[in-house]
Amino acid sequence: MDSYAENPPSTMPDAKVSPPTRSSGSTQNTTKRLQTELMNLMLSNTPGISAFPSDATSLLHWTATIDGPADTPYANLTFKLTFEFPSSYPLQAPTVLFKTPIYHPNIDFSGRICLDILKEKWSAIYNVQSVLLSLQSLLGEPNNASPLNGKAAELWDSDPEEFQRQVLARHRDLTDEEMEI
Amino acid sequence: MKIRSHFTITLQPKVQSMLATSIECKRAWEVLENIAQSYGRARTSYTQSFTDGLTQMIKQEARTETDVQNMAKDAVRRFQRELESLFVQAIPAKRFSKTLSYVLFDAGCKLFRLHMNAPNFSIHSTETGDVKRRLVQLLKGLQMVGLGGDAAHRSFAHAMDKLLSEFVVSHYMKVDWYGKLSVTAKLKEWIKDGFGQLVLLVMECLTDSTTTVKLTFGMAEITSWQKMAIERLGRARADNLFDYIVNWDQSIGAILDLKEYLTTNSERAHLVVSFTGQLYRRLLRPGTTTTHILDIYIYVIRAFKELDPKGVLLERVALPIRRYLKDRTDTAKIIVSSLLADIQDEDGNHVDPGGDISIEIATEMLKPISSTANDHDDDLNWGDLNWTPEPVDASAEYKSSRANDVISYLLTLFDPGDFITELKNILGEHLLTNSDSSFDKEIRLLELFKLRLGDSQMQACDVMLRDVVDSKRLNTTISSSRPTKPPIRAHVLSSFFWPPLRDDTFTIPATVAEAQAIYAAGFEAIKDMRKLHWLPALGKVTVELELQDREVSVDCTTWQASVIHAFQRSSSEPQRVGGVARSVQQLEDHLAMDEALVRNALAFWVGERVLAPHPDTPDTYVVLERLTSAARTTRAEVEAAKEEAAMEAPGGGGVVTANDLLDRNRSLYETFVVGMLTNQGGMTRARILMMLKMAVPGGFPGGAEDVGTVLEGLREAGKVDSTGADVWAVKKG
Repeated sequence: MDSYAENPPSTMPDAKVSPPTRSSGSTQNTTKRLQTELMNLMLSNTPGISAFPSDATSLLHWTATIDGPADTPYANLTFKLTFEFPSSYPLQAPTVLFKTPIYHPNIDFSGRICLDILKEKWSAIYNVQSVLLSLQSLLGEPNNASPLNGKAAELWDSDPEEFQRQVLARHRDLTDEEMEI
Repeated sequence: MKIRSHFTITLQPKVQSMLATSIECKRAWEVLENIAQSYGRARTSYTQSFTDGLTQMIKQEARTETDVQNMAKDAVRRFQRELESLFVQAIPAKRFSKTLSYVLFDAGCKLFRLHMNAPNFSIHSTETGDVKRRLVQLLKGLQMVGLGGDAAHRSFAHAMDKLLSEFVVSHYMKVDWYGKLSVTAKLKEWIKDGFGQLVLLVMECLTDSTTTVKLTFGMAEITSWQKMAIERLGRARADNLFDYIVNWDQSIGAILDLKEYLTTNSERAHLVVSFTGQLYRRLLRPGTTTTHILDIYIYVIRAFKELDPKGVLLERVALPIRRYLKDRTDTAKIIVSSLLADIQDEDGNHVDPGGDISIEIATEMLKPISSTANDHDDDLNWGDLNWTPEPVDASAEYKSSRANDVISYLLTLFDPGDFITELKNILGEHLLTNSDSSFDKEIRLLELFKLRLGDSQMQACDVMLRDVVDSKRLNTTISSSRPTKPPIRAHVLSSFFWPPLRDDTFTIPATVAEAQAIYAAGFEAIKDMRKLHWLPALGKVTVELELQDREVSVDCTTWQASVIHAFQRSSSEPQRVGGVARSVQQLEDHLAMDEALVRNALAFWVGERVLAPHPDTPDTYVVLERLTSAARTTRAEVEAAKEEAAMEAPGGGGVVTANDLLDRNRSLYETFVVGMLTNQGGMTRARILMMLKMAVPGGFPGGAEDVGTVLEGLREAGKVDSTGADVWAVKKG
């Protein structure tokens, strides 16, 4: 107790130091949040979706797996995705890309996704699990109003059989080597 | 000419036969003396006959008497020289020089009595006089017949070289175990007074007396010989350094010898290489206990601090030990428990703390700590007159202001975090088991740790200690305001700061549960409605049993008490002859307790001779109401049960070990591994371990082997498969 009274200046530098450390504190929060999400994901064990960090040194990179929903052109196919979390996550949305080649109205050929909750409608209440579930349902119900792949959007409505053929032609499971990249 | 042929015929075979076979050491003296004598005799007689013949020949030609004498002298000298060369040619040079050098070496040994006991350096003493006389005579004889000179000098040099080495390993130079002093001073003295004198003597004998060169040895020669000798001594010491380290600190004399030897970098390098080799050969083996390695490491630290106060050598030789210690899983545990161990009783007498404690560490902990406040950079202190540059062979990370005490070396073995985890576990165990002491020692130890590891890291330990001390106060308060029957004392622990504690649950006897409720009410009244979460498995109970013929009072664990409580005859049960019987299954159901705990408790009570296995039904136990003679005979069984109870105690103490943790969370780990392999494809075991360590909250407690067990379990469940070369992947289909 006495020591506090004698040298109050010693507490001053600490107080000054704390603002810059907030950024590192926020990455810590991000890590903590991602760890919790991972734990929940593991424990809930939702069928058809799965995700796991891909980098042993950081939790900011994940790989995810989605099974194509039954009764859609994507049934019995599996898709790999990557998640890149910004250090400000969950205030900002993660960057999600399809790694497995996919033929879909809202996904372009380099795997970029047009989904509102990943863009302007992102909110901190979403998490990896909800994003994956949204993507899974997007496979069955594309938003043809704002297509990234216009041809696919047309085919979806006009010629489901041709669409199915295109999906199968485009789909190819990734090898382990490609996964590493 | 006649003489030459005479020599060839008579003397040469004799001499050659003498040297023909390799000469036994014992006979070397004789042989050389014989050679010298026969050559001497031959020389005299040849010269005599030569002179006789010569005088007659010369007399006929000579004009004056002086001419005769001069010519005769010349001729005789020429003749003698020829004779000498004849002699030299007649004997095998190599063997002769070897023999001579042996003789000289032997003489040296005898003179300095290397193989005897009384220390006496002087070669002028009367006892060694005989040897000396004999040597001088022999050498003079050899010199006279022309066997001296350069060849003999070479032999002599060879002999002295051997003599020096011999002396260094002789009893004179043995390590001073009692005086704990260096022997180098003694060695230097010997070089000056003994060795130098001998060299002088021999050289005088072996040098042509006609030459006028005066033989002297200045200080320069003596010093260079001393250097040579010390170098040899140092090498001998370096090769046995491990033995000296093991016998620290009786062996400090040897270390001081080495210190004298270590003057150049090549010598330091040699020492490091040699000692590292010894370490690998003799210490860093799977068979050595970690405790032993730690003890030796401390000796090494102390010895090398003596040897090289700058710590450069220590850094080098300690590297393999440190690396090896890091690989051992129990190192941190042993260090921490040794630091906490009691090796002194109240009177300061040493007590043997038993197996897993390094006594050296514990002793070291008792020492007062030197001030570690001297942290500022010494290089910037311009006024420091004792400043020296850093040693040239120091590595880049070398820091001269390394803390001086041994404990800090041990604590830098690992991250402070690792130590604190270990410390928390051991301290928790320690606090829970020694609930009676006043914790003075623990408080002191914590303060010591804080000085070394920093305040902030030790917060949890502080809280743990305060919890226990507070609990004592709380117990007094609550038990005085709300007395319970039976009396109950609780430890109130802040679960956030404590390591995981065992939380096996079971039904506790109703009376105890009531007491707990009263206590909890008292606690809530004091502590502002904070709730207590009871950990029944952690307690200690004193049980008093009233049996028909005796009373038993035992201290035991709560589950053991609960089990024996279940043997109490309930009112509904009919009175029967003999004790109450319960089966294992009954107890499990009744107490909602794990089978392992039930069996442990039963074994304990069998050991206390309160219960016995039912003679007819398996897995059923009966109360021994009367200790009959029949029961007494089963002493062996009882002993076995006692042992079993001690061994089986599940988890033993209150703190959950890494292994228990691993078992408990196995399904969680399995989920993680499956998730990982689903998304990442095939992975090696090492990578899986790395990912687990990062991804699992709280970290993965095990190592590669534990990952292996998890993977094997999953393989048996058909979820994953090994695709060869330790790569694992999710099973398809």
